Amino acid sequence: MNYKHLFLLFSIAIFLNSCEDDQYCCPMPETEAEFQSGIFVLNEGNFGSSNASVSFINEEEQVNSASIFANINGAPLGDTAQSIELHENIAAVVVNVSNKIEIVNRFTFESLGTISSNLSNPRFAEIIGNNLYVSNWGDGMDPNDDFVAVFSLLDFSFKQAIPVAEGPEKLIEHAGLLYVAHKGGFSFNNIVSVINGTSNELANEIEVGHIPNSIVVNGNDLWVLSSGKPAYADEETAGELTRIDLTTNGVVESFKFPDNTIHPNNLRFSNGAVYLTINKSVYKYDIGGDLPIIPEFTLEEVSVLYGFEIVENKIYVASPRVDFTGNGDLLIYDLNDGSLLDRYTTGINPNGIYFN
Amino acid sequence: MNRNIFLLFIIIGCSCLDTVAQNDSINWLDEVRLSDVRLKTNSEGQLVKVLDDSIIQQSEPLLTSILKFNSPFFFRENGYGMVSSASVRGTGASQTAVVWNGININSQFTGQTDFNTINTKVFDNISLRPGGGSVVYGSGAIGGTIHLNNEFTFSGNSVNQLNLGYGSFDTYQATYNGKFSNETTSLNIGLTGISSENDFEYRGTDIYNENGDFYNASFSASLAQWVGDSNIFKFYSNYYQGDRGFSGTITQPSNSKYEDRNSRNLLEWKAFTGNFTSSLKFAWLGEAFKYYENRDSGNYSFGEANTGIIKYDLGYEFSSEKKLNFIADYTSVKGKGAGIENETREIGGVSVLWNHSIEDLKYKLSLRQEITEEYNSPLLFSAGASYQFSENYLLRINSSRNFRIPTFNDLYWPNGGNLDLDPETSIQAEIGNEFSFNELNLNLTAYFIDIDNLIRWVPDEAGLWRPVNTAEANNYGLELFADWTSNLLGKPLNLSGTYAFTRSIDKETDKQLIYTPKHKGTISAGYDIEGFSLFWQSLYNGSIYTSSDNAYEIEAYLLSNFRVGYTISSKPEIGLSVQVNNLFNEKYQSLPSRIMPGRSLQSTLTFNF
Repeated sequence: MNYKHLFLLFSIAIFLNSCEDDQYCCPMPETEAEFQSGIFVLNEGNFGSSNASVSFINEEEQVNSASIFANINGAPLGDTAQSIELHENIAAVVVNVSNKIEIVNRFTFESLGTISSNLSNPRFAEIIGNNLYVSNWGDGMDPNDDFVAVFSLLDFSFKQAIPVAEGPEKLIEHAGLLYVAHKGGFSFNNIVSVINGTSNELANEIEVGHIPNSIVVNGNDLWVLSSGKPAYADEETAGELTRIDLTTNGVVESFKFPDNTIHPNNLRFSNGAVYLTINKSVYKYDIGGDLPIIPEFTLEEVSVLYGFEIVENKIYVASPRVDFTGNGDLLIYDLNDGSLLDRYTTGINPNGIYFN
Repeated sequence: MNRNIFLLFIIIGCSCLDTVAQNDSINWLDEVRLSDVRLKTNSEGQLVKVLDDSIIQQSEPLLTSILKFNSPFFFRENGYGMVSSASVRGTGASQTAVVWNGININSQFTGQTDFNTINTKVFDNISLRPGGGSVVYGSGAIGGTIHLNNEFTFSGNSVNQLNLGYGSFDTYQATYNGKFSNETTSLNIGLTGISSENDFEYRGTDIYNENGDFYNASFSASLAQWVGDSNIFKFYSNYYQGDRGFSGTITQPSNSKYEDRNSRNLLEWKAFTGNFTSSLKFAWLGEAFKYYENRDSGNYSFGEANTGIIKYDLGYEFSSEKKLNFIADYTSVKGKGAGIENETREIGGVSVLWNHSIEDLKYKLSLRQEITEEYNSPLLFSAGASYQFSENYLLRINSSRNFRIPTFNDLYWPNGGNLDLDPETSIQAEIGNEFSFNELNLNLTAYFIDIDNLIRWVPDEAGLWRPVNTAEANNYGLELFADWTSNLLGKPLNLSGTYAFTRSIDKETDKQLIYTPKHKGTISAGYDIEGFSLFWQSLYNGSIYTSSDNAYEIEAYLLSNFRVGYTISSKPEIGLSVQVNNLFNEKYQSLPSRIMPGRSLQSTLTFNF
């Protein structure tokens, strides 16, 4: 047994060393890298089919490159890609079903390393300093095995697991604190937990609406949009928008949507305005005002609104094919009137849009 | 309208012709021997291909394995021994009915049968009946029906067979079948089991098939007892128990486990009175599963359904050429689990079947109407005829309307079940040609199926997956079954083959439906000489699309198995055989990222006494 452990330790040491070397050996390229500027679309693929991929799209030059991870690194990305975290010169791709994180140079997409242990049903990642934090559901049916894993960005080694409440999903950093929205895994949860990024200890839990799906820092506020419990829950509940003071970490105010069947998503701030979606419609919210009732417009070309971003007066939507097989679309709309500006074919089941 | 009057006229006219009472001993024999006499009497215009006992005992035990090498049907397998579903004539997994001794055993939850949860060794024959069959076999009989049958003999003999097997990947098998009878009692017992570590290497990688271990065991008993000379009681029972780790994929490890427990029981009282044949059947079926996402934890989800069926079938023989059957039945299904609270579904049904032969012309007409509260049931029909033009050529035609009813998951699944579903319905027609010569038998069938109201799970506006009646499809194609017996150096050489050309077109997009190959073929050859038996089988699966935009596909593959058997002793009969599966070590998969085993060995010792 001891020999086995020793061997493992030895092999890990070698592996870590080589990763470290990689970091030092590959400075940022001087010339413009292949993916210097443009959009990454993450295609989750089909569950169990190991056909996740990343598309790169450059609108100005009308470039649309499919499967860039596999093309550059010669190996498939994996099964059910969940999210990408972009930070300085790296991109960390969380591959949910494969239980791994592929870390690449965000400008060349060349692999820097793979984290494939100490993860269990990983969802999203966030970076604070030299630490990579990853939310994990564990066994989706077990409410008590959820955790946030901490890895070192220097050598991709595992540092520790921070046990948290059920279903940690999106993470956001502010002032050295990590805010974790708990959707609830296979069940429903309604908290944001706060982790101290220095001690890596759970500092606080803040109650919000059920199934928090978006967390946004705006000034000294943390805005949390919760979709509410769906129709198949024991009791359907309305979506809720919560404002948390980042100094006190207390809820300042919260607004509930008027009808239990309203389940909003995709809270985005753009040029001082706030947007969210309900089904395929886009709503605008004025801070300090009432929750919107009438949509700005409806995005008719979308089959399923699976990824949604707003950048520079444009809405970007990742829309899978309606039966979730085959290639999906990146649809680009004018934020002012909701008119369709452009569309690009993506890989299978696009779920996220990331700007490089 | 005119046609209906014409049919009515025929029926009335026929019944007046002659009323000579005549006990047809041949028919009686079938009624007694067979568990599912309808398969023989109500398949006019359709081919019924029988895979007999010897094919079953020489094949691998799971239903997928035997059918993929002996039929033109396509199978999607999540791995060897893992979840498997059939595509017959380009239809979906829930559009093929598996029928055990005349009773439809497709799952109440999924509407389909997992073909790797049927251990075939305890059945006397497996019959393939491509084409519609809902009038007699109920929901899901659109693409075809697959029949698992036990048969009785009253020969007075007792026969015992024991098989022991060992093969690659720590695979152990054992089967015992015993048949005992006298003139009034017949008893068959079958017991079989297989267990395998199933830890083969994925060809072309250094990854092994982890967590794919499985075992299953099946017990079967059938008992027939004459009471007097015109009443017979028949009882059939089958129990299946299987545990499987669900294997991962190339990039996805798995630690899940699935347990199946299925029981099937059927009691029949058959009485022969003058020209009447009366059959009263009680059937009760139980299906239960447990799914562990993490096999090391105690957390699981489960499903459990119990089905009770009462069926009365009264037949009247106007003459040996004309027979009318009236059937009334009632089915009650109780299901719970996997988020479904106790739900009960009750279905009542009435059917009328008419069979008539006029010299070389045989035809049948049948109608069925079901009544249930959950959905609107269409009037089902089947009309078929065959005409023997010459001793070498038989023409068959058949047309039918069939359906697939919404499953418990479709209706009651907590995260999206839809109570507003209609059954999937099909109208279909086929023309079959049978060419028979001394050594050669060819069956060539062309068919067309128009399927409406296809139930698909698609996300709604809010992204919630729900089943809806959304798509329509046209399937058409050709199906060939061929058998040829010849001589080589004075010893018999048997060749058989199947081929299917299948188009399965989504009416809206004009694209081929996913997971339906355009081409599938099989061929096998057996030759016996000097106590040795040599056997070869191959199958070809054409490429299949994995996405509805037909942008992604899985490549075609060709598989071959080779077996050598030797008879060690003839009394008692002891035989030893060694089979090489996937002889050419082909890397293949029927579902994305699920690599199937490369070359492997299987040895079997057989005792007949």
